[in-house]
Amino acid sequence: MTLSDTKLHRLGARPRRARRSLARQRATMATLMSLPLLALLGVFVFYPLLNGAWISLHQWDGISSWMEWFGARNYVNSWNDPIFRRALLNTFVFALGVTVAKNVLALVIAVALNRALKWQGLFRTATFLPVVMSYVAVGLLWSWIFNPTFGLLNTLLRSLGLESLILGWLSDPGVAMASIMTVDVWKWTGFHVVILLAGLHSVPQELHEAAALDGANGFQTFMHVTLPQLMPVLTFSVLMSISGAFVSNYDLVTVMTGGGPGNSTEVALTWIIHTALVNNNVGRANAMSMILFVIVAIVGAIQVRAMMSRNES
Amino acid sequence: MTLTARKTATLLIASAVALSLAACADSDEGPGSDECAIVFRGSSDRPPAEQDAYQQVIEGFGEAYDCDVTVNFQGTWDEITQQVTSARIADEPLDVIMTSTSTRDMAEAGMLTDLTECVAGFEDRFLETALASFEYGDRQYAAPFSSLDTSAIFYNKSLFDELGLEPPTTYEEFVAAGQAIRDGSDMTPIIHQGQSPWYWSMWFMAAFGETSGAASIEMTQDFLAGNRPFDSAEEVAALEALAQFTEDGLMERATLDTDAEGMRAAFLQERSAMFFGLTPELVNLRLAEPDFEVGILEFPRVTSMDAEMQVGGAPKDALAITSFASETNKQAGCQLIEYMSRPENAQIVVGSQDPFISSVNSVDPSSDEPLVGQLNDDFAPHTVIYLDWIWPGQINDAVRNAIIDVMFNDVDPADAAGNVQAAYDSLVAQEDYAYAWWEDKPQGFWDEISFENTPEPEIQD
Repeated sequence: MTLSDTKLHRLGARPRRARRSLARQRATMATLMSLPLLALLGVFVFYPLLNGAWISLHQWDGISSWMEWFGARNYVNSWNDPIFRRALLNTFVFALGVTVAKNVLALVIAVALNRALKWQGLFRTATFLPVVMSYVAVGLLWSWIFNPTFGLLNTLLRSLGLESLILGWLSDPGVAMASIMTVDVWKWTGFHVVILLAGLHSVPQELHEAAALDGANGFQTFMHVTLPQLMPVLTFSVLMSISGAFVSNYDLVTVMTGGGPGNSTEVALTWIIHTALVNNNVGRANAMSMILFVIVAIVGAIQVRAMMSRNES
Repeated sequence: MTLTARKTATLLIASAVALSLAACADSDEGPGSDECAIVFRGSSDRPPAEQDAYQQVIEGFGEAYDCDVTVNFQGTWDEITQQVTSARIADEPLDVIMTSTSTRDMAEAGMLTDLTECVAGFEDRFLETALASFEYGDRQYAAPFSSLDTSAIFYNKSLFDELGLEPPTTYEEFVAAGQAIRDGSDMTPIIHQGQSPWYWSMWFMAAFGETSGAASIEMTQDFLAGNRPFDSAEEVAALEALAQFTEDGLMERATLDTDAEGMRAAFLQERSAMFFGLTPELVNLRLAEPDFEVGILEFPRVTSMDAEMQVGGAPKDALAITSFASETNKQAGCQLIEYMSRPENAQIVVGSQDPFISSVNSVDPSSDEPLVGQLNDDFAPHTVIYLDWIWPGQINDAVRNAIIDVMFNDVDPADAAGNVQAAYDSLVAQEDYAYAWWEDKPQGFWDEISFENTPEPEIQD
């Protein structure tokens, strides 16, 4: 090191210390400012999660002042519970089914509504209207539509002479889950239509014009111009619907079938609540919640990875 | 640390200290003082007139016994367990409560005082069936204090008269009536609120009451104690009898997705000639003012046995004392229960419910309902505690599924009963279930739920 270097080093030492001090102060301030949020997260997220994990290792009815150590038995029993396994399967079927149906339907409706239509505003409003309705109201409304004795659906089928299509919409174990999924699709399709409509508006008009000049027909333009341009929005829409579908099925199932007939429409959340509040087995309900948490966390991680790779590309 | 950061930190610490002080402020107060001050809690899902009646009688008690009683009605009837749990955790004063279906769970969890000695001197004021609904292991945990609900088949009497049908009493007559209804009208014979899972068990209770030779409670207790398999002849016979209802076309699959409103609407709109429900349905039917006359039937006899009929029922409300109340408040609570169940006071409160059947003997039944006489003469003597108040939740689920399986899914009744037994075996193996929970409790449990001094309430008739 030369003399001039040493001088320069000494000259630069004070500002560097000052910069470090400033950085420390900023870090301290940032930590202090984050404390309220961290405290809220700790109280309302991390503590219940850890407490739930602790309770899942005990046998507890939820009201007694004592708990009995149960080790991993709640996890083993949960996994051996055929209704819980069925509920998990139903949860996956529900999530996958409504995600595909909502997005395909939303894409078709969005493309239709993107054209210059008469009463366009009315159609858009009508499509979005179910989104703002509460789950309980929607569940009750459709329960009455599906009602076998005086429901609109069966009355309509009867009046059209289609008696052969009349089914036990909520009483037939083979049909009930599909009926509930239909209602969820009806409720949320409008939300995805709005997202996709926004995406369609952002597709440059020049690309359509260029495709037209190249002689592409409407279908070819859609497949090779619109759809690729829409892909980021469509991915977002799919991810939104799949994450929602895993955890937002409780209200609809509870109101429409209560998990029946014969547990055929039971989803993980309804069975967890039933186990905790009806069977008074809060320990096992927590074990089920932990299992569901791990599954949803894995799905969430895949989701985040998919979004990140989409952003990177 | 900069001045701003110091200020922020100081503010945060000061807030934390202030909050801690605020939280500790009332910690010394609570039940336990020598002066009589008790808290009474009931659910708010009852008519204002009934709440006023409670208030009136409790105020009378306060004046008579120089006791400050805080009365509050909050939440719904099924939230009482959570309310008592919260009060216990938060050390919140709560002494006398109104309870019902969850009494067994709360008693097992040590949340209720053993009232056996408290009510011993005046237990004859209560209907025996109603009192038995809250007795576990020979100990009384609550005193019934409301109308008594029971099960009945409601039928369109005008239609029966029009078709020249007599009210059926046997299953064969019931099937014949069903056939006549189908032939003579466009109604289905009977509908049920099949979407509400807990109402299925009443069908089994009625059939099993008969196939068991009026010993359904004892056999259920034996089953839960592990002394009798559920796939015994009597239980299987009850399921076989229920399977007949759908085999003979009396009930359609559509009943599975019918809820309470749907069932009521189908009956009122004359789509269905009968439904099996609980007596409070009568209130709804009267309010709807149907164009036809309503009658009530007992569940048809499904065997040729000559045993007494049995149907499920229970009081809507009961009075209990929390186990964490102080001894002074427990004693005052016991006196309050005695005071409220005096004929003149019970008439004010239970009478305000206009009961068809009263769980307090001295209370006159409703004078406006023409079917009251039949309910009290024929139905009340046959009413026993709901079996689903005795079964744990898992068995409730299993029995409900067994009923649906035999009625709608062509499952053999013996197999369906076997599934219930399997559910019981699984409950015992996986969760160490024991029906007689009172046999395993340590002395500390009994100390906590008992009076320190034998209660001797002043009894006035």
